[in-house]
Amino acid sequence: MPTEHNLDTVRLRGILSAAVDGIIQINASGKIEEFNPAAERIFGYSASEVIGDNVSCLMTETDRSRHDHYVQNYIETRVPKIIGIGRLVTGLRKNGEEFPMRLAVGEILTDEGEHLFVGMVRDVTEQQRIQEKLTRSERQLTIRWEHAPIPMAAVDAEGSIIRVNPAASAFWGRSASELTSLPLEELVHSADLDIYQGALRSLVSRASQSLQFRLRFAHPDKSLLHATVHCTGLFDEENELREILAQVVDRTAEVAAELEAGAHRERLAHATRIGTMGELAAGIAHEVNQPLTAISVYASACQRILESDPKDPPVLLDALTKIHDQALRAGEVIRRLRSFVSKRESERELVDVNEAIREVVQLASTETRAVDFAVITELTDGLPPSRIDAIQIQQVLLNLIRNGKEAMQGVAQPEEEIHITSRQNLDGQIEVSVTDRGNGISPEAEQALFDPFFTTKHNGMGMGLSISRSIIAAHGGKLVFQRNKDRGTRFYFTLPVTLGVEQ
Amino acid sequence: MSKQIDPTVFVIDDDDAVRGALELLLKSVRLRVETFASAADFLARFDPEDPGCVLLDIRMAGMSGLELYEDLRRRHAIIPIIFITGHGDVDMAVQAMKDGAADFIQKPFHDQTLLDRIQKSLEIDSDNRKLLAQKQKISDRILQLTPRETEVMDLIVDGRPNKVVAHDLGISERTVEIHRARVMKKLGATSLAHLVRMCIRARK
Repeated sequence: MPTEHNLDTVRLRGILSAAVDGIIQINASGKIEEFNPAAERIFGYSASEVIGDNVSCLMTETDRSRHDHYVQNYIETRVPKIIGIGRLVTGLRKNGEEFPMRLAVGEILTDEGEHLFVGMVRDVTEQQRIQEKLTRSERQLTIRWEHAPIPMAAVDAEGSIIRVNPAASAFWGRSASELTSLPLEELVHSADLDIYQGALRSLVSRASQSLQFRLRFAHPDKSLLHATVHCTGLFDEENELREILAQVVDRTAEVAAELEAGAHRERLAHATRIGTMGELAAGIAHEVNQPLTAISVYASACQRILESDPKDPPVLLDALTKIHDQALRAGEVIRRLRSFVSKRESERELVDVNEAIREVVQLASTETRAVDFAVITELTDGLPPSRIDAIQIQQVLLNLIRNGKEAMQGVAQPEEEIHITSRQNLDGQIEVSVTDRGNGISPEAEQALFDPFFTTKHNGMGMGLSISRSIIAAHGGKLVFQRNKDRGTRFYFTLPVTLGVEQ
Repeated sequence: MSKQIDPTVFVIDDDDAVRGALELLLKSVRLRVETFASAADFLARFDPEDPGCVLLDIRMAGMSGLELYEDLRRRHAIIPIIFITGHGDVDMAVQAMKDGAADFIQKPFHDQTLLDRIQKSLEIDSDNRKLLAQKQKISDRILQLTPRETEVMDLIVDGRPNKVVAHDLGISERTVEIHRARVMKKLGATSLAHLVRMCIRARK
């Protein structure tokens, strides 16, 4: 039957062998008296190898020399340096490897008045490595967040800003503290609020996990910021939306460049329209001269009728009506030319393309040439309207008509014609073609046809087709050409169709 | 023989308004007017015998004014033509003038200027037609002469005295005198000078 004491000893053994932590008992002189299996695992010694040895064999050189002194000092002064406190120290394994360990020391005073010390040792190598890794990745994350060139903001499910990076502060022109806890929508341009709120709803309701959309923001200096915003919802373990990360790609400079390119194109287009006008001048004079002649002749006829007898009021009335009509006709010619030449912002409106074609054919018929070829139109009725800048499209057409006429000079018979057609192609786009009966385009010229400053004319600037192509491209269409089977060239371009409800 | 009708101003212009205005103006000064919208319409109606003048827009769709002019010249039409020209067509008109067109007037014009030009052209046409008629009359009479009378006339008109003519033709001077008297009578000449003028006119 085991004694009380024996039972305690058995229990203790059980605890020691089951303990996860290494347990080492030493006496006052530092001799190891107990070394449990966990300690064996940690240090690589078997208990039999170290029991009776000084515990300093488990320490590094630095601690070893001091250890006995520590113990002695404690016994004398009773001032604990480690007992009941626990600290991080460096251990030494049998294979000479040093490792970090957490050490807690307890003191036992035996009935015999002997001081015994029990050390509890935990190898924290792995823990420390994880810790370091965590710290490192956190630091890297912070660096990335802080130094990212892309403005980033985290917002909560209500859309309030949780934090921003310095790039975001710079982008929005407000300090991080100003931005924090501000609803992000206060930065969004009022016209784009719907887009933003829709995106936020979609993310919160989890209709989508990440979204990308164009957004404009208002800068405190009243300028407009253009951006593409990438939003991603971040969820926790419970699958609750923790925050939304918004990454903002600044497109302000890009948009400004696009606008500048557009303005540049308009300036160029205007310049060539003016140039075209110069060449059309004689024709314009004719166009205005016709009604002026009619007016002056009608007026003098009226005078003569009034001076004679009988006065014949119905004839006079009719002549006066004609004078009125002709004055309007002259005004219409001038209006058409003015609107064609005037410098203005590009205006896109829903336009009946056929109507624009008819107008420009009128304008083109004012050209003066030894042989002026007629322009015949074959327009498909009932085409859907297109959102275009009619003046610019007319400029393209006028250019193609003039090129066609020039190509036909000296080649085509006077009764041959330029054909303009309009139709809706298989893709649903409106396709307009201008076909001449000229001498065609040489293979060398084909290559460079749309290049700026490429020309085969004696006095051409070489900008016509280049600008025409960029105008059509700006409308989302294409300007191309093909050789006719027998003679001449067919140029055609496409224009988008606007269907149903406007965006 | 030319028809005894009033001269007509033939207005050819493809611009309805200008054509209508010209018609009214010319009618207001009691001129006979006929208007045509194209050169082809005019040619379909044209009779070289009709006196008058043509008022023609130099620049028209289809057959241009210049082409019509050339066509009329090929037909030996004597009717005078006034080109109406625009601002840019003066060079064309000058070229036409060098080729012998009657006149040109630039748009827009003063009504009196146009009427004066028309008046002048009508006078020229009238004169031309009179001359033509006279020439025709003389030619008809010359055709009634015998061959011998014609021979005598040619030599006399050449300025040769009767004696030389008699010698050249191998006939007596008296016979020359008889032929000469018959020529004068048949042609209705009152003097040698008159006869010479007639012959020159007929040969023109």
